[in-house]
Amino acid sequence: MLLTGDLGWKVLDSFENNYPESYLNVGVAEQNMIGVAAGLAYKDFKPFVYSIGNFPSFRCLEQIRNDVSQHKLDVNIVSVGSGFSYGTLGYSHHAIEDIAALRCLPNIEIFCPAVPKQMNWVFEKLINSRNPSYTKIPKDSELVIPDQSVHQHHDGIFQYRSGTQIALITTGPILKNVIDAAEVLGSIGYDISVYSFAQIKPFPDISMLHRYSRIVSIEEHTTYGGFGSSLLEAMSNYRIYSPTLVLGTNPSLNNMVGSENYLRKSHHLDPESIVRKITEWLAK
Amino acid sequence: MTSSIDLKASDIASVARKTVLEMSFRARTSHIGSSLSCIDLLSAMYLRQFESHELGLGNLVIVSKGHAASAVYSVLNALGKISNQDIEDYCTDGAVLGGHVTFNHEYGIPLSTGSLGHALSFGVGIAYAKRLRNESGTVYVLGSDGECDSGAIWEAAMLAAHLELDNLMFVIDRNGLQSMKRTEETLKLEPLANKWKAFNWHVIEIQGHLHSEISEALDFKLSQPIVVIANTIKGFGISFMENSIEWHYRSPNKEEYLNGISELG
Repeated sequence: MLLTGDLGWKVLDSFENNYPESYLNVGVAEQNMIGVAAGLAYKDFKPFVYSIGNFPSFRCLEQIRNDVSQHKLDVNIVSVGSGFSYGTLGYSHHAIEDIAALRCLPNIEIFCPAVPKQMNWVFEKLINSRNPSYTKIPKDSELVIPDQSVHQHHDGIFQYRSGTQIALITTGPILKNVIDAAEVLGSIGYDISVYSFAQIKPFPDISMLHRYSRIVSIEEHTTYGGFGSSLLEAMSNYRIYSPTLVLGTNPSLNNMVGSENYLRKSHHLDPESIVRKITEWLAK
Repeated sequence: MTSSIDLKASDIASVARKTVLEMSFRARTSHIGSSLSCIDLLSAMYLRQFESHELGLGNLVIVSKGHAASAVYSVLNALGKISNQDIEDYCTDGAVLGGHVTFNHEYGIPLSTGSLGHALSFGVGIAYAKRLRNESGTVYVLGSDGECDSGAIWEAAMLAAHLELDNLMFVIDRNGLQSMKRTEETLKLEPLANKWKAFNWHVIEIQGHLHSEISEALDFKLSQPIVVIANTIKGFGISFMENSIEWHYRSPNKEEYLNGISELG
């Protein structure tokens, strides 16, 4: 089943036309949408719940908590427009805190694919799992990373650059900026690995990070309770004590509007800023 | 002439009322007033759930008014579904039965509730699923009047009517009180029937302690969703608990418990 909260114009048309019995627009009513999805899942349907930005998380967080998460129902929430994808539309549409909000809920698996190849991996997981899930995806799939540069590890860890000294770890489409930053850092003599995590919860085994003397986490999301926080927790569990820098959005800038690139730059998530922050930190 | 299901429902309700009083006294829990107002409704609804299973039909009861947990458990106990031991352990450490309706597959409770306004949406999902599968049976959702303050109820109401779900019935325990004052002093619900009609539901208003009226309403079928506004008395059955906000919160002391037991016969 595919449920939408009155979004997906021109995107969901072919699904609706081909599978009308499996499609339901519930209108601008996310709390109801989650409750209905829970009821469908109780009856052994496998609903996917589609919306954008913060609507399928914050608007209906209690329903996700009490109805879906608590009962471990097979409801699969998809939020389009991660990070600053909808930058010009303002803070209401900036999806930069959803990982933090959902991470604390039991039983929900969380995915954040950066590119279509990662999304394919995530989709296989979603189809084969009966657990509730939340997946955030970029608005555009223009981000293309040459496939030959990818090495796929376990649990949705994709490696885009191989080094031995410093690991840059990221999630979601900010990957492009991280790869570009790694190029620059590489050209000035640093030995960099780049990892992109398509799965955030359950957080994967990160024992392979033991070899790095420094670790940097980069996310298009708040650093309070997001991907970087998950990483720090995991590092503690795996006894990885390498100094770690966590980069993310700046909460004092939440009134800004502009293009995705403009906002990323304002939050120091463009490649140049990432390079600068890392080199300044390494110099300390 | 009273039908056999009404007699049965009435008997179940009588037994369950005493159990609710015992549970509230023993566990020192709140919400006895809220439980007593919906025991007659729940008896009739659950009879339909369990008898329909035997007949291969699929009526299902979902309780959105989760704080009436003791009423739910008492009725299920009177129907022989919940064990006496679990009733005795209600709200004790590690208990299976919590102070708000607690999910239990074995006992026929599909959803844990406790936050108002959730279960009508859940019921819409189930009713829609049943229709997609051509399954028979009605989804009965029990809610409270105070719960109609919640926007989520009206989101569910709109979708149910839009989908013309003729297998969904929302039964409102209209006891006229909520947490602080009467509903009409808090957030005016009246004209409540008109609100539901405006949302394209068929409205049936009944006296919520009269089993003949309850039966007639629960068995009504139309081509649209139905709301049953059941006028009830909070604390029904125990004179000193009736129509009282205080008994939303208090549990009876020993003397009150004994007085209540003697009133309930």
